[in-house]
Amino acid sequence: MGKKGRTGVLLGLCLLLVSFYAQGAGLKIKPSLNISSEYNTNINLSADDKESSWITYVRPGLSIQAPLENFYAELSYMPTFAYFSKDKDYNYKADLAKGVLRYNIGPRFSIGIKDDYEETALPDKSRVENEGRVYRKNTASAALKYQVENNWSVEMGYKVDRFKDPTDDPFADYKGHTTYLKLKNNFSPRTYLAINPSVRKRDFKDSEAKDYDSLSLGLELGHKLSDVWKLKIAPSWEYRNYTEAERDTVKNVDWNVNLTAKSGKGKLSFDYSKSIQDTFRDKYAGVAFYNYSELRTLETNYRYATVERVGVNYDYKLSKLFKINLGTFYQRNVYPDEIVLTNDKLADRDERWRSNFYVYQAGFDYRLSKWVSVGITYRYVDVKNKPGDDFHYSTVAGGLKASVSF
Amino acid sequence: MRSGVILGLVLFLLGTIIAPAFSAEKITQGEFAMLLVRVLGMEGDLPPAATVEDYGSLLSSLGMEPAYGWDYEFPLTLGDLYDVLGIDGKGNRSKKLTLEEVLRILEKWVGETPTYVPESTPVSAVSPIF
Repeated sequence: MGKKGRTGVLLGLCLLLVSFYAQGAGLKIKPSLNISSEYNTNINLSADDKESSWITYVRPGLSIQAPLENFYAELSYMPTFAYFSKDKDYNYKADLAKGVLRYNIGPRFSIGIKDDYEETALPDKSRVENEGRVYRKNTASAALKYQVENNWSVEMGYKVDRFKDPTDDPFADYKGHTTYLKLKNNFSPRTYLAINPSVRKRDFKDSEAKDYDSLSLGLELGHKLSDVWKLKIAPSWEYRNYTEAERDTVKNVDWNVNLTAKSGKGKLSFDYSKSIQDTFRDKYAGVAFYNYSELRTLETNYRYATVERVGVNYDYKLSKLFKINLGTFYQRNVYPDEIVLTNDKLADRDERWRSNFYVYQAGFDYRLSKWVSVGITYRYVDVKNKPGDDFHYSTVAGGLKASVSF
Repeated sequence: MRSGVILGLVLFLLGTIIAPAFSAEKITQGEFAMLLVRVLGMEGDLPPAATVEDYGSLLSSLGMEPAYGWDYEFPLTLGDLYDVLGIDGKGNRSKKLTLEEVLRILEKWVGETPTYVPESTPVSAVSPIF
């Protein structure tokens, strides 16, 4: 969607909100404020340039919602202001905005559009002073869904996603187009199967080196094993064809598996996923952390990483006001053979580059009143890049948080 | 831009002919799921096009569902409502509820329940993934 088109839709949404208000339907205006502060022992996520800092995040938010019987419209905006005690050059502002417009013709037929805009900061120190480190991601989607009785549902949609980081790098600016169909059948109250074919295209702004078209077929099987346990298995087959003739086509299978147990006040979940990821955002998870610039110079040879993650998470409500969370996961990124880093330390490498992440986190929330909650968070991240132990680093972060909402 | 304005106007006109549809009849689990997501102010977190099962799935992802899962056509019972809201209430758990009864319980529950605030950042804003 072009800038003018998006402005038009936003204006249309504003008009709609005003029209609801004029009818006396009432707008819901919801301000909120989140404040959290944490101490982080390695803000550069670096093996040889560790710096620690208190980071305070201030997140004011405003959401305007117009709920009617069958209509729903929303505009919301929530910027994050991050303040680093170490050096104010690290400070940044990142926006989060959302627009939603949905029309439900009864509970079984729905049509809607949604726009999500998100900015996120990168942990790349070299960019703090030079290029800025906040990148933008925008996803606009339109969909139509019809649920036939309790058994069948059909959904069709189109999605455009745009990624842009602050540099002029041609590989840091792309647009993706996805068209999909999703058919879901509930075989019984305990089991469903969904089939999800889709066509995707990714275009980089100033280069065709990594452009591709892909065709995917996803399956999702959900089954309730008992009153406590639920299982979801979702493989997806992808056939990817790169625009450049000399590049091979890629055949890949993504996996998502989730096993959940819910009993009383506790919820336990196990997750496994495997996918190939080719975005800039994904690339920061790995070698990029220790030497982003070097990787960037060679990235024409770099298409994607295979990312596997396995984790377990546990939530428990000790009381109505008190919640705890414990979680851990392991992630492995394996990069393709074609990536060759010029760093001397890696000159004689014979094996594929890979990064291993071990993450442990814990936290609790205590609600002081309807509007105010406080909490403590702790997170330990250990990253081992192979080959070469020189790129082993860890970071510990812990802190306090408070939120106020109305 | 013009298309956006037209879209807004069309939706305005449609909005004016929508009338409240809830009645004093027994409420189904599906109707309750849609009502509760709205009460919690979470409709913005649903997919662009969302039917009743998306409302139920969103609540389930938060651990809010009847003991035996959602059956959107089934009448909502007092026991279902207690399960979803996570409260230990009194009364006949198999009693089927009307909208009026549900609203009465919700009103009290909402008064004690924290307002929903969406997460605005990943676990750590230092890193996009951690």
